[in-house]
Amino acid sequence: MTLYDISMRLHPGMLGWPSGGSPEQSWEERLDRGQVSNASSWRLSSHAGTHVDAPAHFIQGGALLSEVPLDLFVGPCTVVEVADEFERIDCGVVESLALARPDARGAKPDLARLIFKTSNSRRRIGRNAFDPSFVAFMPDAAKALVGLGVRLLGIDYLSVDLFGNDSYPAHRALLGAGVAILECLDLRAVAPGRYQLACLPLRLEGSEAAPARAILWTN
Amino acid sequence: MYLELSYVVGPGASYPDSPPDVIQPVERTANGDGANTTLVHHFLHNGTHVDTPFHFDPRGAPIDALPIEAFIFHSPLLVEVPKAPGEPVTPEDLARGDLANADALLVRTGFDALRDTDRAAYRVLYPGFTVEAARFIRDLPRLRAVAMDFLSVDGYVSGHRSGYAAHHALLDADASTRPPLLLIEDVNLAPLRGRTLRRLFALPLRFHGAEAAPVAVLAEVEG
Repeated sequence: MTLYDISMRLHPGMLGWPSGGSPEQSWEERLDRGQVSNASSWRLSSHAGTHVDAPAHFIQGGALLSEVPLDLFVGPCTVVEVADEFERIDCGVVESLALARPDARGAKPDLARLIFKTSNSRRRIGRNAFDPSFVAFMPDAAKALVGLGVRLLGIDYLSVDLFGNDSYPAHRALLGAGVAILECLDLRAVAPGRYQLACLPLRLEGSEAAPARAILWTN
Repeated sequence: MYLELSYVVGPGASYPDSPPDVIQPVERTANGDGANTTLVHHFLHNGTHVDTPFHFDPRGAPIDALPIEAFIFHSPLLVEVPKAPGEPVTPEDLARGDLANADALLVRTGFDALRDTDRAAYRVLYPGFTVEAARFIRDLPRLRAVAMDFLSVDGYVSGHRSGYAAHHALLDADASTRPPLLLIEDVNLAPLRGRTLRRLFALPLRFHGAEAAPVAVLAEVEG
């Protein structure tokens, strides 16, 4: 079993939105203050670090995170790579990946869980400073991926939408079709290919999203 | 197939005398905002969580110092040890199954049934382990983690009295020649009844320098 931890470390000052605060830790008890244990509380956004968006993030009446079935978060997963020259993922980029092409045995590929590795992995995800030029999806690409049967879509930066588009069309196209989104993945050590994925979010009561620990493995 | 063994995190799932969790809406589409977003205030020992050695040992490892391999178990063993309120788990209770080969021990006392039906008993009368049981577990030759269907390895009253002796026996570097264990507390073990366990994934959030973390526990079972 070869394992890849594709989750970001959660800490104050970590990569996050310019508008949002980063995680904060406060100590309820400290051994070095003479108390019986180390025990801490954390304050963080449901979208901090590696996290899952459920449909309710943008869709009124959409499924909350606690309502998304477990099956979506565990199982076979495909990681594809987009060349560094592409600054956004549009329909043409998706077509060029020939995702629906049958495999060597003629079987139709299972695209239920699909993760995109982009230049974000090389240029951005390892830095705490926010970079607004990150690679993300155009709405036509998001719709094409829904059409290909994607149920969980992952990306190696903070959002599936390009920065500055406040109507969030890629989010809406995906979440509106019931697709869950996995954002802020650290794919630096991961090559494109077929893996098993487990990305279990904190099952926060009533929440539209939550931080998750995500791993890939090959048996 | 896979079964999820973690409880939902919410304001009702607090450890006694600890700050309750707050899940605070920030933006709401129902109020005209563009999206729904949420802020969470979470005490790391509320709900299903893993304790690391740093919880009680100042030189122990925090959660993000442990490699991901530490959270995946290939020979998990479930033991059924029915317990009445306030009755601790003893070494004699645990002498069953293939303990010598287990890398994770899952101890089910039946307290999971009380979590929703008798909250008061669940919070303060949970079994805990005697210090002898904790030492017995710590010395198992291949064990890396112990999980349980109750709130803490130390009983609520006995923990206060003993200075959390079971935690120290399981977590302190100098308490055994065996390495410290991970403690996975407040786990829903009821779905495992009648199942054959293959693997266990206990995936904690990767908080920097934290003594514990909320954990998503996933069992791979036959069928």
